[in-house]
Amino acid sequence: MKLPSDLSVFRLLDQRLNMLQARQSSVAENVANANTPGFVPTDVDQASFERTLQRHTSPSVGNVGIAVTRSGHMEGSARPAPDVRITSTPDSEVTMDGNAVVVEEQMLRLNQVRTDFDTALSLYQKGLSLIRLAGRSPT
Amino acid sequence: MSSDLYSALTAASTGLRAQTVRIRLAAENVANANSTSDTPGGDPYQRRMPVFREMVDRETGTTGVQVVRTAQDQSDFPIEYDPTHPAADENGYVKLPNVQTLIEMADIREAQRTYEANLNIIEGSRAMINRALDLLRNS
Repeated sequence: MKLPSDLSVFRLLDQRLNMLQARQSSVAENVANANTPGFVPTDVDQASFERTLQRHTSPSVGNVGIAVTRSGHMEGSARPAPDVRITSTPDSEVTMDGNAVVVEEQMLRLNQVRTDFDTALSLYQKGLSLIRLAGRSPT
Repeated sequence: MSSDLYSALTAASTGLRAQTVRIRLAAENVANANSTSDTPGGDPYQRRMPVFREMVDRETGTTGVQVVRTAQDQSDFPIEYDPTHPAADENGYVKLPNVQTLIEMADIREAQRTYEANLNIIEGSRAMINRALDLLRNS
């Protein structure tokens, strides 16, 4: 039997939620340091995340597993988790003390993360209710 | 699962604390805007300001903010001719504090904005955590 986490939809959503959490935490760090001299804000590298996620999900590209041919072999994870890479991303303005945080832009990002998080969780919930629907006896 | 969201809360709370210190120092400056020395020719109250530094919490790896020390404003004291003043030097000049209330007011406003931004982060993170917990409640 497949556990929900084995189903690709749930795995995808799980990774997305993880990425969004990391993103939220970096927004929080940026806002906390909104007045720290020389601080450059960070964000999750979206391009890198999407690239690795794509490699992760598309069956054709680079999805070669590690075969277990002897009993002593360990099962390798053929699909590495998409990387959540934190990079420094200066906002549009840098103040004289070298601080590159613009609070308004961070607030925008906060709302984006929140909306994306809600969307992903709704999809997750939908998926669960579909499974429940399939498991219910017909009456 | 939501350790990242909790670390967002931690980071935002350090931001709140740092901005509180900033507002407190501005209030001290305004309160002492007319505090001269009580000895002839002595130095009056010197304006103080916070020095922010980013601080990494070793336990969680979260980058918060910290007021490492309070620095004193090194700008010159304005002088006023008032021979009857107890702090007047032999030529009759009194050194006044280098506090400009207008600047302090602007600083308080900015600190208030950043404080609110940090509160927004807390509110957003909390909503996200609650939303994730709703999965448990509704299924």
